[in-house]
Amino acid sequence: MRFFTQFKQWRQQLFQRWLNKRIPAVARHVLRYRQIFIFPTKAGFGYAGLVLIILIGATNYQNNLAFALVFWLVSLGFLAIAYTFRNMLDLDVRSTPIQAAFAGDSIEADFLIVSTHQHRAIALGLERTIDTMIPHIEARPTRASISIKTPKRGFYQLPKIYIETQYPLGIIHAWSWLRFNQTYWVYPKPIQPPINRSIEGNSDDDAEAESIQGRGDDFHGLKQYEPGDSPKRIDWKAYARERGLHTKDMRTPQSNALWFRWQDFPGISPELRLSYICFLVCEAAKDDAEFGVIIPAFKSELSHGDAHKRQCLEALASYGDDSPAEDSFEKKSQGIKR
Amino acid sequence: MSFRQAKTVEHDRFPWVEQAFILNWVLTVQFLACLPLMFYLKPWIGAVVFSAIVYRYSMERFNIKPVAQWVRVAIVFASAAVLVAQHAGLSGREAGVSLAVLMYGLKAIEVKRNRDIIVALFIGYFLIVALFLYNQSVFIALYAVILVVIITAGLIHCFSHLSSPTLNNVFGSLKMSAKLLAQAVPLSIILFLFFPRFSEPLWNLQSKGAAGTGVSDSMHPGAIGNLALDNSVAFRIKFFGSIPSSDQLYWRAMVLDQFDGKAWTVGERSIFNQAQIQTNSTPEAYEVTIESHNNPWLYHLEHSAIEGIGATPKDDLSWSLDYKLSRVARYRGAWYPDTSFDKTMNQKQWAQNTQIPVTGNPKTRQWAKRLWAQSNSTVEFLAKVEQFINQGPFRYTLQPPINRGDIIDDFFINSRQGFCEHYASALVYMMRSLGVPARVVVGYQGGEKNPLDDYYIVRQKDAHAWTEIWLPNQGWKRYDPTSWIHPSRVDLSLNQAVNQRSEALNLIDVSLSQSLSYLQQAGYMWDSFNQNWNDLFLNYNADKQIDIYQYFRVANLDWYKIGLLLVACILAFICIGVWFLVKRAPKRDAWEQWFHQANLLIIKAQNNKVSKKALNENKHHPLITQGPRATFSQLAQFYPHHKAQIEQAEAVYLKARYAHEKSNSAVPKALYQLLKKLPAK
Repeated sequence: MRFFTQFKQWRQQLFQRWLNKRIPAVARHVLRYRQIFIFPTKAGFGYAGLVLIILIGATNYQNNLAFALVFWLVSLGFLAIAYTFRNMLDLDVRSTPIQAAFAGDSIEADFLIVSTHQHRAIALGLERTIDTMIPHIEARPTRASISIKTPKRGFYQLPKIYIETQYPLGIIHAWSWLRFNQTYWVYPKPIQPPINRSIEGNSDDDAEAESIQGRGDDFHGLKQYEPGDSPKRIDWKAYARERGLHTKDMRTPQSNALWFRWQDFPGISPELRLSYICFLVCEAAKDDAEFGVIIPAFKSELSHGDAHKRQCLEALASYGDDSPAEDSFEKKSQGIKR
Repeated sequence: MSFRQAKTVEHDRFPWVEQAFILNWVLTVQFLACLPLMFYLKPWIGAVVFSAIVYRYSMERFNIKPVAQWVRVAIVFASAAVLVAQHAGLSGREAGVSLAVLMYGLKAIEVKRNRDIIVALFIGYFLIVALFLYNQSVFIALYAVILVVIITAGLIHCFSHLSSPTLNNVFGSLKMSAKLLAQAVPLSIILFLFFPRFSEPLWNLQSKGAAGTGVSDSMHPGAIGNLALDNSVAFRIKFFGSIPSSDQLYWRAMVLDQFDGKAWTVGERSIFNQAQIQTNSTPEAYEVTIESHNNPWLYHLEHSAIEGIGATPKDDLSWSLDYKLSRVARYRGAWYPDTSFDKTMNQKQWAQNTQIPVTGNPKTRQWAKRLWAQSNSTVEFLAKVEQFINQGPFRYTLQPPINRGDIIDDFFINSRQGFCEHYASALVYMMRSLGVPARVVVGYQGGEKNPLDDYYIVRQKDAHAWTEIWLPNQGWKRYDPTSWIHPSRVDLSLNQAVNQRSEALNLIDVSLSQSLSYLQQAGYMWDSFNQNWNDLFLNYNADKQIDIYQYFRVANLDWYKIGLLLVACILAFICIGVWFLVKRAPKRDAWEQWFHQANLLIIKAQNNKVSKKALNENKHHPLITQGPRATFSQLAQFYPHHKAQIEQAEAVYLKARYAHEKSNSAVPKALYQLLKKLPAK
């Protein structure tokens, strides 16, 4: 059994490699003979079965009208192959830049489709599902979009697009997979932090915190230890003197510039921190305030504007290349992470 | 008018937007597919099917709540149960077709998802075949063609995924369907001619005898109170040798030699050994084209041998098939006039042919006994019976009184009114009561020539029954007691006289006017057309297929090679189809083509790796990689000497393509000239 699943995986991989070679990731696909796959649908097998039953009946009753009908239907079936194939042939599909989205929402991937001749009922989707049906394609470019769910933040390549048609009879379907060299960003899901602690600001005494010590962070006082406080900031000297557990409370003097920092949210999971910072960045950008983001391995300028906001959000989205294993699995199944 | 998605567990991948509209299409197909079958099936089936269709239609139209699931299931099971009860185990053509029609009609209530719609359309194709089992006329063929177009259009409509059902869309689908089906015709002709056929059915279709008009496999004299005249064609004959005289035109179907006091039936039979045929006369050839009658027997002249259909002769010299004939068929007969095949009879046959119930009909027995005593021979006795019937108050009528009790006595002694069955039955009974072997023969008598063609037509109304009586040293001899009735005692209205049964026509000797009325002429033309239809189409079979193979000098091909040939034909058909469709794809309009040329110039001028690749990829495709302004500015950049002309061209182009009122004007020659002038770099 296990061998069988392994064989299946191996076969799948081989097929994917072959497919990727055959249909490379480019900006624009023109569907020609090499790219189009064609096979009967379930209904097509039903149709074949029906034709076979009629053929047996016609033979048994030696009924020439039934023979005529059966051969007519057979010819119609074969003609459908030509028509369905032609309905896929010469389609010219290109993908347009994709707007970034927040995790949990969905992105809209837009495509421009054009052709030298008429096409009917072209379906677009992801992985053998259909999201959009385009009833008509002509010489003028037709715009079609499919929405892709974005459960996890990150930088993605547009997954394989499934393009299919069953026109005219639904007994044959022609399809292709289109790989585009199109990428998109998924920012962390913005979540409002419980208290807007960034205004108060606080500092840490770990490696990154050291580098921003000079910005005027100073010791504010001691407070009672609460579960979740960083062990690094526990006043161990006081503990040794048996005065109980206390945490050093570090604060930054207030200023007009907003700094959203990793260490503003101590004892919170990294993803949630990113979500909080994302929310704050969005809020700040809405007010057109000057802000900066400091997270491990990234530190922005203190600036404002759309470009700055985008830069910050992208940094948040791509935080931690060595993200947990299940995350990377998710990403691989959707696309390729940079 | 919304499509009801009543509690479906499974959802469609991509439900059709127009489902309510497509549903009406499906209901129309169901109605049209079931309609002609209603003439052949029991009325209650039609009632159930059409109420299901009407119910479903009004359910959508007037938003009626669907009936509960258990009610629907109950209806299906109840109908099936009635069918099983009526047809004793669902075997046979009528039972099978009834079941198919019922289930198909009831499917109307159950159509919910995309798949149901496709299934309903597919079964429409199937029901057309069921129809062909009953009727293979030109009309039905035309009806079937129209139905196939409508069903196929339904499929096309479904898979077009249109969002609005307009009349234009409907016509578009119908047009597309007609186009596809017309294009499928050539290959279907090839397949029809060359696809290997079998000359025998794959398995025997045993079924209980269905009630048909004309001849049936048993005879109940006196049980029918009114004989309806059925003018439809039973079979057609073409004579190649001499044409039999009218008193030889007795078409035997079956010999009834078993009598139980009420009905004559077919007794036990053994196979007739054809080697027994000893005759000096030369055979006269004829060819019979028999309409589908769903019975095993074949019609033939007396003393005939049949070939070309695989029939076997029985020892009573009747010919039948091992299966029921439910198609139009053709066979050849060789007829030996003035001869007798069987001059000897064995013990068993003698017993069979003198068998009657021990008691019953005492008056007839007694009457015969008395007459027999006065006669010296069987022939003399028969002459006396003929005289008695001719002189006595015997009447020919199609509305005889129903005979009760001793049916022979009731007819022969009391009522003395009847048609062929009554007379044949009485004579055979009489002879058997005297120990003379005798038997009832049923079939057809006569045949009218189609004056516009050289074949004869025998109609259902020509069905007849007569007798064969064993004469010592002569063997079986035909006697037709119906012909003994005096012409003055034939009760027929004028209307009946025109559409006459041949048996009665002979009696009263009505001479029809020699010139045919227009109506009659049209009737014969139509019949001639039907016969040609049979000739051309319905009689194509395995034998003729071999003829065609021989014509194409492929006589010794085995099935394997023929299969290969067919596959090659199909592949060629698909390839030609694709090539033709792609070739015929509409051309880009002239402006776009010009713009494409301009872009190609730029790519050539750029002459780098990227541009070469792009050129390679875009041989067949418009290059709309950039807007027109970019293209023109690039052109100007590459060809600074022609800058003024290029700018002029840009203005012309932009005006033609993007002006508020889009012009359909042709591309000015100057623009083409400009492209030519620009030197390729």
